[in-house]
Order: sequence, then structure tokens, then C-alpha cells
Amino acid sequence: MELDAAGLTTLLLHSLSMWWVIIPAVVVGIVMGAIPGFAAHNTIIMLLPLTLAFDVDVALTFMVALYCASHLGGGIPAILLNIPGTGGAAATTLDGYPMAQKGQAAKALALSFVASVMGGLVTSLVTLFLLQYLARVGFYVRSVEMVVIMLFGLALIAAIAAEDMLKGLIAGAFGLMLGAMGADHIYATPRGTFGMLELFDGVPLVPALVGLFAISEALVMLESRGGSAKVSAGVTPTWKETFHNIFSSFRHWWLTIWTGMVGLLIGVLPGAGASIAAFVAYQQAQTFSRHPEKFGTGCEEGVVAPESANNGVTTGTLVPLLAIGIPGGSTAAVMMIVLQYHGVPFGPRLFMTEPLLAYGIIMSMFVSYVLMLFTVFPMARYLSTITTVPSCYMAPVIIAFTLIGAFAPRTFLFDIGIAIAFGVIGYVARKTGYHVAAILIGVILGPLLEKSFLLSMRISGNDPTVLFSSNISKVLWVLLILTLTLPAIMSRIKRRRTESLT
Amino acid sequence: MKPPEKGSRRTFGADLILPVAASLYAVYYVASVWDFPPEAQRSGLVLASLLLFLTTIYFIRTALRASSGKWDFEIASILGPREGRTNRLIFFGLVLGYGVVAPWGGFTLTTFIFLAAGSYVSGLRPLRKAIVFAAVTAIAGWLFFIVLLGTRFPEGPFEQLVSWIVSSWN
Amino acid sequence: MHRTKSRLLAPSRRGFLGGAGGLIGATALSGSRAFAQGQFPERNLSVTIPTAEGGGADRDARVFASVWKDHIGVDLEYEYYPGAAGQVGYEFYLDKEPNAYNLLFANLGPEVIMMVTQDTGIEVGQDIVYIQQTSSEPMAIWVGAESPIQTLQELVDLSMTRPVTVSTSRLPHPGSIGVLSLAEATGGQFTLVPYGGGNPTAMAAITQEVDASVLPFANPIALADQARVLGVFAETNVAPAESGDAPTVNQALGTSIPNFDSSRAWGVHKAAYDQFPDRIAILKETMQATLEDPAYAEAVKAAGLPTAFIDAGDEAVAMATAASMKELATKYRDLLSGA
Repeated sequence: MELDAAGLTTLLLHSLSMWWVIIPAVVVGIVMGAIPGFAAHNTIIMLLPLTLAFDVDVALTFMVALYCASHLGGGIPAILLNIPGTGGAAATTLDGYPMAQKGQAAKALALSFVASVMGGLVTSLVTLFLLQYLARVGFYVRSVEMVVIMLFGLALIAAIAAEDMLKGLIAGAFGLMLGAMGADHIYATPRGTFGMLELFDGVPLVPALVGLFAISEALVMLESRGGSAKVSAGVTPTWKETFHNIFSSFRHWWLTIWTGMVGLLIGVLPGAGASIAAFVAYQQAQTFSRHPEKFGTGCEEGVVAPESANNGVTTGTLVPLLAIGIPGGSTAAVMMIVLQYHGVPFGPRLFMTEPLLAYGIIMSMFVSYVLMLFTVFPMARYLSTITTVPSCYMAPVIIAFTLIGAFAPRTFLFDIGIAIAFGVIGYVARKTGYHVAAILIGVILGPLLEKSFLLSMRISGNDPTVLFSSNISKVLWVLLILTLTLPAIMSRIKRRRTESLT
Repeated sequence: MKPPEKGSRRTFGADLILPVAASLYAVYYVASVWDFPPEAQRSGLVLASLLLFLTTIYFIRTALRASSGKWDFEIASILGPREGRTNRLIFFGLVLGYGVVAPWGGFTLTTFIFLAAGSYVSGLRPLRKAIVFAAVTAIAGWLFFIVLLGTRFPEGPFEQLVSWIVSSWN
Repeated sequence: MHRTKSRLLAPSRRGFLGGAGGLIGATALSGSRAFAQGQFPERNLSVTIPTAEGGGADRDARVFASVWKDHIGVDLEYEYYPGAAGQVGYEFYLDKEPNAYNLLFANLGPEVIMMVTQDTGIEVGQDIVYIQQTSSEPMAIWVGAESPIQTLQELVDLSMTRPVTVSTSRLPHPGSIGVLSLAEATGGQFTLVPYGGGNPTAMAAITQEVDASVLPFANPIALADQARVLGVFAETNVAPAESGDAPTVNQALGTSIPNFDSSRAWGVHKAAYDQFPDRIAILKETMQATLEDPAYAEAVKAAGLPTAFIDAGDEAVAMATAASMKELATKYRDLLSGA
């Protein structure tokens, strides 16, 4: 099958003919993405009996649409309630929630939706044409380079801890320490687990996320009677305002495109996921922003960057599955089961034997985003009213449903306990000025950093210079150093300029 | 420099909870990997040293502030404003209770009780309103999570009753 | 291509909606399913998989279950407990009620080795009994298609000049022991690099982050022309057509290294085995029938796996496989646990 005009039209019509499966999948995806703990991969596993019962193209379209929509959904509670629905939306809380508190929830939602949809559209188009080239990224970015990419993510701890650097670093280091819990990557011996079997595989991420953000937020929420918005006037926009919010979000088109590409490239790498991509994208957006000091106070770019990046990742994780035949993430792994179950070959052979199906997966992603656009308008108008719901309703509902979310992925009652424990940690952190996002960044990135580092060391025979051995790693190191020093240099230059002017 | 006004003096104490807990965990972690092969120890030791270094600086900073006499020791602020404190503590007790009751109470019943009690404690009046709110939400949750998605949440009296009714129909 | 096109419209839409309704019905009304009263099994069986979803064990369990469910008459529900090289899954499995409804789908090689190297205290035969072996596949050492290394001899020659890196799923694994004995037999320097799972292990070989990879044979076979199999740790290569006629390790090097393979097997609690012999008999009988069912071979083929790996072995065979693994693990214990 050629990707010429005729081929593309066939492909587009094929994917559009699946509207009846895409629409319910998008709705389920958005709802599930918005409930912490359910995300795409858990939902897809739960619905596996359903998906296995259908034709493979229907099943794949359903999963792809649900997957993309879940990353759009994840941003909703991050903005409205300071509770990220998925790990990939954790960075969205940093500016989305302050916007909601200022009464700009509707605007923040519009930004997040437009960034998600645009990021997804652009990256799926790029993937459609450049799939084989994207798959090569994995050949150049390996454990050594991953170490530096993780450090980019960790640099965010310093950025968000600007208020009290020492406290921010303690929170980040505590997160890293908690992330080092569990079996080591080489010998699989459990470390720091208090002898609890449930912790042998490390800190379970969903209960940690639910606890740090949702439970602690619900407990803090009870201290005030009203909703999360400190300004309740004008929370629900008119249709005219909604249209304006949405169309003005396209102003950030360039940021959306490049952070979406950051997400796409990180998504292609095995083991890296939406959370890392969103952290890195946020951190980079801040570095290259004209007003980095506004990040964290309700800055539009701070919502756009992580949301576009986490949708870029959804496209990226499919690349190794399609181009090589190895899933790049857990959702892609479940998709592989479906392909295998139907006896459909995957990897490059899929393009030879079933090109319509292979390219169809990417095209149905594109079409899902197009159809998602229509859901964006009503959601951007009405969802912001959630910020005015009184805490006596909101707090109990958040706790009840997120505890189920903590339970769902592994079905351990123990994980409810973990979520409550992290809820206490999060509550104490919030009340005493430590950033919960800094703890979460440590918990998520710590194990990945350790793994990449240990692999690099093993491969090189314990030679630390391996970390600077490849050209790509050298470039990344230089960028990292620039990222860390540039803001300080820029602000000094700015200060000097204003001093010389006065 | 303006001297701090009375009543708005800065406090310390509650902010020590997290670094103390983190330091204790770091020490425990190092002890737990003491006999392990180096590759399993390395990152833990590096992280623990980093964390303990940071918390030590923090403790020194706090000690200097405390000795300056301008900072007051205060820990109760962690519980938030005095008003409604008891209710919030009861609410937290209910959260803990959720984890304890869920294994045998099942999803729907536990959620119902938690929502009714939780919303009442958080100020939803009258009680009838809290009960209706809890019932509607718990049933909606049951339909969505258990019926539609098949989450394997522990079954309780409610779920057993439903499956008994359904099976006696057939 | 035609296959997908012909299914585009109405019938599958109806099927989708009907199926969605069916799923809702099935989960909500799970209590209502009409099982034969009093006869085992009266409800669905629960399968513990000690690795992550989407891995090889998941794939093989589902392929087996797709045919077995017609023989046993109930569905299977899967639970995944990855972690600590399988220890987490085993410990959780042992905590479940020993009633023959709770089954374990084991990967005998790595898991028996794990029990030895990690001092778990779990004993095969005392805590758990493997009642049926379903498949057995040798370990294969292979490289990515773009690797300059063409033969096993070239890899060994390279290992004489510098340490050769070999990606493996985890250290307590028959593949890792295979590489250790290869090093012992040839005097070469081999560094095992554990990637924690088959997928990342394979990726490391394809992207040439490592020189070679050792994995169960089905992995490089499933990767088709992206992988070049250098040698198989077996008496003979049972899937020559699928592996580019790869030699066995001993053929390639003239060594006499033992076979290293991994077998999938169904396990049950020893307590259930003792207490419910009738249930165990039904499980065994229907498992045997599944393995003999031509539909099973079809399902294996459809999943892209060679049918040559189907290796029906009864309890005695499965337990003997476990015992020989234990012996190997004890021999290489120190190297595998970093002691």
C-alpha cells in the first residue's frame, strides 16, 4: 500500500467508517483518564474480554481511541482539583490548578484540550509518514542517553522548588529514596521494603499518585467549605467565551508542536513514558520561555507543554510495536496480546501482510483526535463548574473513587493502605511547604534512572566515562548544563539591563 | 528592618516532620542493603547520603533560627485551622475505616457508608440529603466500576444480594 | 487486506454493541452462569501469572486457555503479580485459598532458579506441585539483524578480545546459566546484562546496545528477520525453518554444553493437590485433552509460535524438569545472586 493521495484517502475513509467504535472509546477514555488509577492500560486490560471478542481492526481502533482520549481526560482533574488523572498529567497540576484557583478553570481546560488534540494530531501525522525513521530513535538513544533524559526530568524538581530550594530538594530526594524501594535491577533482591511482599516490585505508582495528590488534596479541601476555585464569579463561561477560549488556545501552536514532538521522541524509547515526557516538556518550556518566572503561578504555557507532550507519547509508544514488533509501553503490550490472539503478525511483517491494518492504527489515532475535537467544546464550557462544588460533596467522592483507583491496577487491598500512607505524606508536605510534585517526580524517575545507570555501567564494565561516550549523550549533557544554568544567566543579564536603564 | 509583629511570628516544628521521616527511612534503607552486592547497594547509598546531607543542612538551619529567638516552636498547625478540626480528624478516621471495612463490606456498601458519614461530617446537612447523595453515588459507582468494567473489588453483602437476586430470576 | 476491508461495516458494529451488552451482562450476572451443580469447576478458574501482562507467560496462558476453556467448561480470570523475578507472584499464589480453583501458570526455568537464588523458602513438591507441562523451548543466543556478528564462533572469538555483552531477561534464568556455561566451556569473557523482561531484552539486541541476547527460542522466532539466531542450547534445533536453520551451540562450537530450556507448566497448591484429588484429576484430564486437541496446535501456530515447542509432559515430567533446574541453580548460585 502506497501512502499516496489515493492510499491516504482509502485509509482515512476506513478509519472514519469506524466512528461508531471511536466515539464510545473516546468517551470511556476521557472518563477513565480523569479517574486516577484507571488510565488506559488498566481499562484496556479490564475490557480485554470485550476487545478480544471483536475483529482485530475494531479492537485496535477501540484501544487506540481509548488510549489517546485517556491522556486528554487525565488533565481535567489535574486542572480542576489538583489531582492528576494519570502520571502524565502530574506536570499539568503545576500551572493548571493555579489557573483554576484564579477562576480561569475554563480557560485552562480549553488550553489543555487544544494542546492534547493538536499534539496528538501533529504527532500521529508525523508518525504516519516517518514511522520507519522514528523507529531508528531507539538505535541511538540507549541506556546512557536515558540517564541524561531522566536528569532533565529531575531538573524540574529544582525549577518547581524555587520558593525554598532546600525544601524542594529534600522533597525530591525523599521521592527518589522511596523510588529506590523494591527489588534491585540486577539481582532482584528486595531493598527497603519492611519485608512487605507488596513492595518487592517497588512503590506502586498509582497508589502513590492517588495518595500524594488526591487524598492529601481532599483532606486539605475540607479546611474550606467552598469549591477549589478561590474566585467563583465567572467560572462557567458562555458559549461565546468558550469559543474564544478554545480558539485563543491555538495561539500556542508552536509550543504545542515542539512539546508534542518531545513527547513523541520520548514515547518511542522503551521504558520511558508519559510522565517523564510531560516533566521534560514542562521543564524545557520553562527554560525557553520569555517569562520563566511565571511558571507555577498559572501560566498558559505550563498547561500546554505537558498536555501536548503526554499525547505525543501515546503515538510514540506504538512506534516500536509497529516498526519492530516490540511494545514500547504497557498499553502497547496489551495491544500486542490482541494482535497475537487474532494471529496477526506484528512488526514490519504487519505492513507487508496487512498494510491497511498497520497504517490504520495510526490513522485511527488521527481520526480519534479529530472526533475528540467535538467533545472539547461542551467539556470546556461545563466542566469548570466542578470547581464550585462544595467540599462536603467533593472530598468524600474524591477519596472513595480514588481509593478504588488505587486498588484497581493490582487488586491488592494493601494498595489502599499505600494510598492512605502517601496521602498522609502528601498532606504533611502540602501543609508544611514541600512540593508533592517534587516527591512524585522522584518516585517515578528514581527507579528508571537507577535502571538506566546500572545497565550503562554493566555494559561498559563499570566505566563511568561511558556516560559521555556517544555524540548524542554529549549533546544532551551540554543541553542539560545549559538548561540548568541558562535561567540564572538570563535573569542576571535582565537585572543588569534594568539596572543600567535606571 | 521592621520587627515581626506580635502574633505573626514565624514558626517551625511541623516542617520538620517530613525531613525527620525521610532521614529515618534513609537510615533504614541503608541498613536493609548492608550485606547486598555493590550493584544493589550503590544507588541507595548515594541517595541516602544526598538525603541525609540535605536534611542535616535543614536541621542546622532550623536550629539557627530557633536559637535566634525570632521563631516559635509550633506543631499543631499541621492539623489546619482550629475550626472544624475534630470533624476533619473524624473524616480521616473514616478514610482509614474505608480500608479496614472494604474487604468484607464490599465496594458498594462500604462506599455508601463512607460517603454518607464523610459528607455529613464535612458539613452536609440534613442527614437525609447526605444519605441520598451517598446512595446515588455508591450505586452509580457500582454500575460503572463493577458492572460495566468488572473491577474485581471485594464483594460484600450488597453484591452478593444482587447476584443472588439475578440467579434466582434465571 | 481484503480480510479487514470486508469487515468494515454493519455486522461488526452490531457485534460490537451486542458484545458490549454481553460483557455488561456477563460481569453483572456472573453469579447466574449455569454451571453443572456440584461438579468441579462450578465457577471460573483464577490464574496467577508471576510476570507482567503482555509478556510471554501471558501470551502462552491465553493461547492454552483459548482451547482449554472448551474442555473444562469455564473461563479463566488472570491476575498478574510481577516482581522480584517471580517471587512476588509465587508468594501471592501461595496465600490464595488452596482449592484447585486457584492455579499458577509457571515458567519452570527462571522461577525454580529464583526460588533457589533468593532464599524464598518455597519448596517445589512441598508447597507447590506442577501437574502438567504444556510447552518447552530451548534458550537461544541471537543477535539483531544489523549486527556484524554472523556466527556463534565469531561471537566467541570476539569474547576472547573483549568482554561481550549479552542481554538477558534476568540473572536467575536458564538463558543466563546457558551463557555462563558457554563462558566456562570456551574461556571467553561474557557480561550478562539483565533488562527485566523479554521485550526490553530483545530491544537491546536489535538496537545493538548489547552484542547479543539470550532468550527463550520463541522470542527471536517471533521477531523473524529482525533477529539472527546464532545457536540453540538444545540437542537439536526443533524449529529450523523458523530460525534460518540455526545450529545448536554444541554443533557450532564443538562443545558439550548441557541443554538449557524453559518449560511452561500449570501448578497448584500442594494442599489442594492432597485435599482434592478428584479436582486435580479433572484439571489434568482436560489439560491433556487440550494438548491433544488439534485446535491447540492451530492456536499456537496462529500466535506465531512453532508447534514444535508443544511438549505435553505429565506431572512426573514437569516435576523432573523442576528438579533438574534446581540442580543447575544450586551450581551457579553465587554468580546469579552476586553473593
